[in-house]
Amino acid sequence: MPNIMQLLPEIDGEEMMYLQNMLKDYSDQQAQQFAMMYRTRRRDPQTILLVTLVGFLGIAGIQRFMTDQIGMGILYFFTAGLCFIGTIVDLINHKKIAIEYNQTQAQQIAMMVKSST
Amino acid sequence: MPHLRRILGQLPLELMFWVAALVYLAAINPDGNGLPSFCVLKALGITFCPGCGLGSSISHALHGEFVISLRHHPLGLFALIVITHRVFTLTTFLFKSIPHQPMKGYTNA
Repeated sequence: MPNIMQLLPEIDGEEMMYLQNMLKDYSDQQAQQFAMMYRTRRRDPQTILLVTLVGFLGIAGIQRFMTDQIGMGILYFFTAGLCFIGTIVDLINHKKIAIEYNQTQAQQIAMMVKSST
Repeated sequence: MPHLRRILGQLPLELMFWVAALVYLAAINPDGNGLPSFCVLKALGITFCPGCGLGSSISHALHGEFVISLRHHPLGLFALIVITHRVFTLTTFLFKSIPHQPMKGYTNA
C-alpha cells in the first residue's frame, strides 16, 4: 500500500486521508504516476486563500477561475465579488473550495492511471 | 468542544449560504421599502459598487419579472443561473462523499 506521506509530503489532513483511501490498491508505480500528475494539477488551499484576498483589492473571482468555475468567476469579476459578500464567503470556505477541486482532479487522474496500466 | 468543531467543519457552508440567499430573495418583495441592504460598500459610505442592484435584480428574476430584473442589474439573470448551477454542483458533491463506499473487490475473508 503506497505511503502518501512519502509520495506527497506537502499534503495533510482531510486531503491526505482521501488520497490514502483512494490509492489503497495501487502498485508503487501507479501511485508514483498518480502523484506526479496530481501534484501538477493540485490547488494549494493557501494559494486559494491568497487569491481570494485579492478580491478585496478589486479583482474578485480569481479563486473561482483557478478551480474551473468560469461562470462564477465572471460573475465575481464583474460584481466585485457579489458586493464582497461572495469574497467573504469564499474566504471562510477557501479550504473546502481547494479540496473539492483537488478531489475532482484526483478522480480524473485515477481513471487515467487505471486505464493506462 | 471537539465534536462541535468537527460537525461545523463538515457542514456545507457555501451550499447553505447560496440556498439561504436564494430562499430569502424569493421570499421578499423586491419592491418593498425598508429592506436591509447587504452591500458592504454602501455600509461604508462608498457610492460606487459594480454589484449594486444585484439583490433586487435576482429577486425580481425569481418572481418572473425579467425585464425589471435587467433594469436593476444587467447580470441578475446570469447570476441566478450561475448560482443555481453551483447549488446543484455542491449538492451532488455532498451526496457523492457521504458515506465512503467499500472498495470494489472487497470481500469478507
